[in-house]
Amino acid sequence: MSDILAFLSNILTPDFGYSVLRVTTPILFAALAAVICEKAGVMNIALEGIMLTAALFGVIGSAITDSLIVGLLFAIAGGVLISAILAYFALYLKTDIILSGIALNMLTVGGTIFLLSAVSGDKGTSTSLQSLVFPKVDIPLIESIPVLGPILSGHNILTYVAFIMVLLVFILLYKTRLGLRIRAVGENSDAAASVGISVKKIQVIALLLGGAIASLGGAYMSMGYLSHFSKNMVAGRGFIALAAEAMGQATPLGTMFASLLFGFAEAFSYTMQSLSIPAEFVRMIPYLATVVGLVIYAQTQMMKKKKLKK
Amino acid sequence: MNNTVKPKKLKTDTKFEIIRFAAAIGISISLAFIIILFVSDDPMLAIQKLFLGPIESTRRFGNVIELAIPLTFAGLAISVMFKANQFNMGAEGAFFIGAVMAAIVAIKIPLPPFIHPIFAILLAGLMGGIVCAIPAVLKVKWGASELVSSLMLNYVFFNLGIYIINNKLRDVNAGAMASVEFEPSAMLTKLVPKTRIHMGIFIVIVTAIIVYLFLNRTKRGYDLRMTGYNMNFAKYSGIKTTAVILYSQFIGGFIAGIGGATEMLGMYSRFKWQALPGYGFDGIIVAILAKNNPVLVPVAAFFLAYLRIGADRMGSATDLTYEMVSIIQGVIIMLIAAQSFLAKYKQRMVVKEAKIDE
Amino acid sequence: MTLGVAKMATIEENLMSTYLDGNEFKKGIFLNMKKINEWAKDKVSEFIVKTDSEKAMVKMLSGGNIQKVVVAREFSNNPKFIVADQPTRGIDIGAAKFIHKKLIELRDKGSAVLLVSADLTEVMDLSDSLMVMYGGEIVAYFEDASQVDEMQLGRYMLGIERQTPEEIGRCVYE
Repeated sequence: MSDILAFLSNILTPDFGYSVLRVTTPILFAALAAVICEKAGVMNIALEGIMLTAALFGVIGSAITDSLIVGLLFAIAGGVLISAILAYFALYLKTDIILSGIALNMLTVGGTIFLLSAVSGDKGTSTSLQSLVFPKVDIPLIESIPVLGPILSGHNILTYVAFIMVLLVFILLYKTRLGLRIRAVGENSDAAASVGISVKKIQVIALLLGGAIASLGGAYMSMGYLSHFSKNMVAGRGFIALAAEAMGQATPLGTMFASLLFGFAEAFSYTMQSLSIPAEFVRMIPYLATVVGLVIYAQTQMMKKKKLKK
Repeated sequence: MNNTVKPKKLKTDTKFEIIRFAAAIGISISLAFIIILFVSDDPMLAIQKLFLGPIESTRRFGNVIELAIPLTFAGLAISVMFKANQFNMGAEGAFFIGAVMAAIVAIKIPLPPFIHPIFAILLAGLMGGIVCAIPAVLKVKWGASELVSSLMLNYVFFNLGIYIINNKLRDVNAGAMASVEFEPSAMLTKLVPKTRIHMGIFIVIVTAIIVYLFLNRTKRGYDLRMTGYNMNFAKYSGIKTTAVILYSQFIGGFIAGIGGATEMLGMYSRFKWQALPGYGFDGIIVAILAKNNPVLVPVAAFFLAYLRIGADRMGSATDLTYEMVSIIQGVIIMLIAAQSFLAKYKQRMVVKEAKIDE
Repeated sequence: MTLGVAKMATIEENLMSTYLDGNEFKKGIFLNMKKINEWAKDKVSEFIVKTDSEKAMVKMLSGGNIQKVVVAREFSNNPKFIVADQPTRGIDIGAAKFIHKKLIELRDKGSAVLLVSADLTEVMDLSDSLMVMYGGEIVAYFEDASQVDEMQLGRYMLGIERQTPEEIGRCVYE
């Protein structure tokens, strides 16, 4: 009984709420990237690798130039590079896009460790690099609001960027010409081609754009969530982001809520560790949550299809 | 028109595949050369270790064979599932659970020798099959993508397995987190002196043969392949594709489970893994290299093992880290899986052949 | 191409897809590869599928030859009833004529053949009896297709005329 009380008192605190938003950030970035790619009809499985590369490049960039902005640019460059490779192999050399994504993910896991070691001699964690970290921001009026204040204020600036990005992606997809083209290509590429839209070009743009956004998530991992790079630090978030995008029905807003759900599951699992439930079972929670989410999403899709048939 | 097999037509295809394979390897090795030259203080040593390291000694070459065994199991597991067009990545989890299962039987269930490992391995296969069957069931019942669900379940089963090892089978006297020692009757005997090559090599060869026969000489295997080629066509031909989706993934998991058990009982005397070993994911690389062909899987596994051991030798002898091998193998797979890679060249070859025929 | 064949599989594999339920091509739990191969060779020869080998991938064949593979498979197991829906659309004349010949052969062997086609010539050439559909409904039935006048046929096809239910009913009650 006292365990349950202790448990509830852990969850129903502003600290927990804060933690949820913090943890959701990388997932949200990657999930939004997935939304753009999905809308264009290309499945970006390489989000994991993109984020990992961005995380490393950000650390290296900011350490070399001692500039946060340049570090960020490096991170984006790294992520976009991986997206470009994915686009080239999947769209031009016609490798199955899922295989390409998987291959790139595997390549980056080892590749980043190798690159780190080549650049700094560190074996797996960027301890010798003086990399920078994005600052936390206290929002003046909001931080004074009871309960909500501590939850919403004081986050890393990238967390706020992530949630603003939801709006930006929405505007991009539904209020711009490029967005219209992206959606056209994803909806029916033959029809789009017949009105003169270059399907490949749009898909490449979608992949690169998605890569850039996911890179922000990667940069956050090593320059905000943590303050260094360590091997395989993305730990499956790229895939959880795919599930979030699926659950969010490939819409920016839906994806945001789905990402929050997974962020909740992850934060929840950290809190649970204080209870007498074995750590191993607690660590399963985010992954099980993803599977459950996936099933729910798939079911709703099937229901929709059945309705259409009638 | 005479309808007997004309060897020439087939040869163009295989000739082209060989050229493409060689080109892919050539490009990635060149890339490796360039990276080595740039980064290393002693490039010649690095290159020498990378390519000749594995044949430095019997022990080193033994390492290649030892590594090729679990890679072959994983490659076979993934090949079966990929051939059915099921992108189930759960071989990693199945492999791990198989190893855990083997440890449980080796520690807790005393059995006479010979029977002991066989029972452990078969039980491990069963559990592995269940692990990979779950995403299949989710797909069949609820339409959920087996790609993401299988990946997630890998971590779920990893945590489950680690819990069992660290809490139920733990050796408190051991220095690090490890299980109690296995009963000797459970372990697979070593075969070749100066190496750690074990009986598992026979098990894996037999498994490869069975997989080949299953896929190419039985109706169920035929059903599996046709479902992979074109599910609508298979359904229309009366093949029970739902069953295929289920059993292809179960079989894949079963093979991975056996692989995990064989690796554990052949190479270790206690369970020491504290992280996912990665063989299941490597199986994807092997399967892609082998084009999902069970006959080529051992060859691809050997090739990958050789590359890995070479990189390992390079890593310990020079300032380059072993992980560079990820870049090489990544580039190789992507080029090999690229259908349009050198497609124009193939076109020219085919046209030339046709002109000769006239 | 989406339903009738697996493009990346061989001609042999495509031919045998509906023949593996019984024991005819099996040896115990295994498939009798030799028997299947001989049978496939026969079929390729009988249906004049233009290829170097029965082990060639179906995607290498021309449209007409792919259709002949499908026809070879479907017509070869003594079907009691065949529904042929646009069997020669988009196919070269040689293959089309061949398929027509096979349809007649089937009829001669006692199979019931329902030919659905928008190709008037094909329909008039092959049919014993004829049915016309318009707007999703059957509007005419002619027991003897050779007696049908094309102009009259056209009127039914355009929905200008319809037969009475009794006249249409003759297709069932005769």
